[in-house]
Parts: sequence; structure tokens; C-alpha cells
Amino acid sequence: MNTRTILAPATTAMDSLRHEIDRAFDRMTTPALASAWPTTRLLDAIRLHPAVNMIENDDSLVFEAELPGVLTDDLNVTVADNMLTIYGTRTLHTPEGSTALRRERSTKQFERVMRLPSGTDANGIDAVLADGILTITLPKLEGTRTRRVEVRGL
Amino acid sequence: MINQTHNNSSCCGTDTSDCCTITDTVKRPQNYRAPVDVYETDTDFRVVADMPGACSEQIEISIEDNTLTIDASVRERYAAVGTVRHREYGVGDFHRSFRIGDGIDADGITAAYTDGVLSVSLPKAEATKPRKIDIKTA
Repeated sequence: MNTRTILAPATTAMDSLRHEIDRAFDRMTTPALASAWPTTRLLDAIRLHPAVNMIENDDSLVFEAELPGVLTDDLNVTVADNMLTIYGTRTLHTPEGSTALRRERSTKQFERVMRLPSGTDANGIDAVLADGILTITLPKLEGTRTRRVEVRGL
Repeated sequence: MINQTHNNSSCCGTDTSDCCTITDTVKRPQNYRAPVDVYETDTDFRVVADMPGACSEQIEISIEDNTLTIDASVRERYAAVGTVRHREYGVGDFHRSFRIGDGIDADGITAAYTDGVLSVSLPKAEATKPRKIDIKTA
């Protein structure tokens, strides 16, 4: 459905039926069901998977993730078997003796696992954290060209 | 208007000539809503916003008509690196505004930007600080 659709008044029988079904679903979300949604405590245990952008140039692949408020001591970047793992914890520095009026930055632990493409040199990987942005540079291997394989006849 | 303290970040180090100068002639249409925590202590309000990649020299915090507005310019950082092959999040300016009451001492607002997080401290005006009221007994 086009999100820019202007809602037209229900003039047809199908519209009325759709309207009735919508209202039936609304009634189903009672307060009892609403309490089944995860509480804040459970949400804190859920790991955030930070979004990653990937940029390519002639020499390398660059992965970038936004990790505001994360210090290098709280961040781990590991490479094993062509799998790159970014994980860590962010400490929210709650001021002493304060009450929180609004909490939107509630996630503390994060983890992201990515498979590194072939043709890259995992040994030459470089990671920099600055201004809340983690930049991981992965150099490309020299000369990853296709090789012609000689087929032997028996 | 606002006292700002900030560390030397990679973007705006000692030389701010080319790094933090926004050279885009076309203003990018995307404005992102920075996630924010708001805390209240006895003496002030704290607004903590996630704004990674912002140019600390170009963060604007203003109060007008009971509205606190935070604007941060973010430089475009991919063109110099290469071609974007996979994009899960967008890069653009941050904007956030709040309705606030009268109990703020606007001249005492301070802000700091470290590790991609902006912390704004809004001191309460004297009259609104909690006071212990003595109860006299007759």
C-alpha cells in the first residue's frame, strides 16, 4: 500500500469490512496482553546489533559502525576464520542522584558478526574508533585474479 | 551563547580548515533524530544525545520561547573513502527540539561533546530548586 495514500472515507462495503476487522484487532490488544511485551529489564538484556555500512575502494573494504559513547576499553573486534566480530558494552553514565525523565539510549551490550569476503587480507585489518564511529579497514589481497586450471586427460 | 568544551576529535582537531567546513552547496534533506536521555538532578537537567560523527565546532544549542533546540552538522565522510556498497544507516545532520519550562537558567547552560555523545547541562533557576521548608510549630 502506498504510504502517501490519502485515507478516503469508507464508502464501499469492502471498506466497512476492513474497518471492522481493524477495530477487532485493536480490541484484542488489551492491557493484559500489553504486559506481555518485554519490560525494560528484559530489553536491557537484549543485544543490539549495530548497523554497519560498507565502502569499497581500490585497495580495501571499509566497514563503519556508529557506536556513540563506547570507549576502546569497552570494545572488542576479533577476526577468526574470516568472521569479523564486533562486540562490547556501552556504559551509560547516569548522573549521581538523578531521576531519568526520558530514556531512549537504553541499550548497553552490542554484538555484530560478519563474514569477510574472500580476496581480503584479514591479517592486515585495522580498526579505529573516533567520535563514536568505528572504522575497520580491510585490505584487499594483491592479484586475486581468476586462474586458469589445466585439465588433464587420462 | 553556550560554553562548549570538547576534546580534540579526529574531525575537528587543531586544524579545522577543511575537515569541519561544510562544503556541500546542496543541503542534504535528511535530518536524523538523535536518541536522547534526559535526567533531572536537584540542581540541573541533563540532556544526553547520541550524535556520532558530528562536527563539535558546529553544534548549535539554542533556547527560544520555551523550546530547546539542538542541531549538529555531520560532514559527509564516504566520498573520500570510496563507493558505498552496503548501507544500513544513513549519515546526515542531527536535529532535536524539546519544550521546556521556565525554570532554566539559560545563561548557565554548558555542553560537552566526547565520543560521539553530546551532554548538555541545563541548570535550574534558583527559584525552582527544591527547598526544604521548615514547619513552624506554634
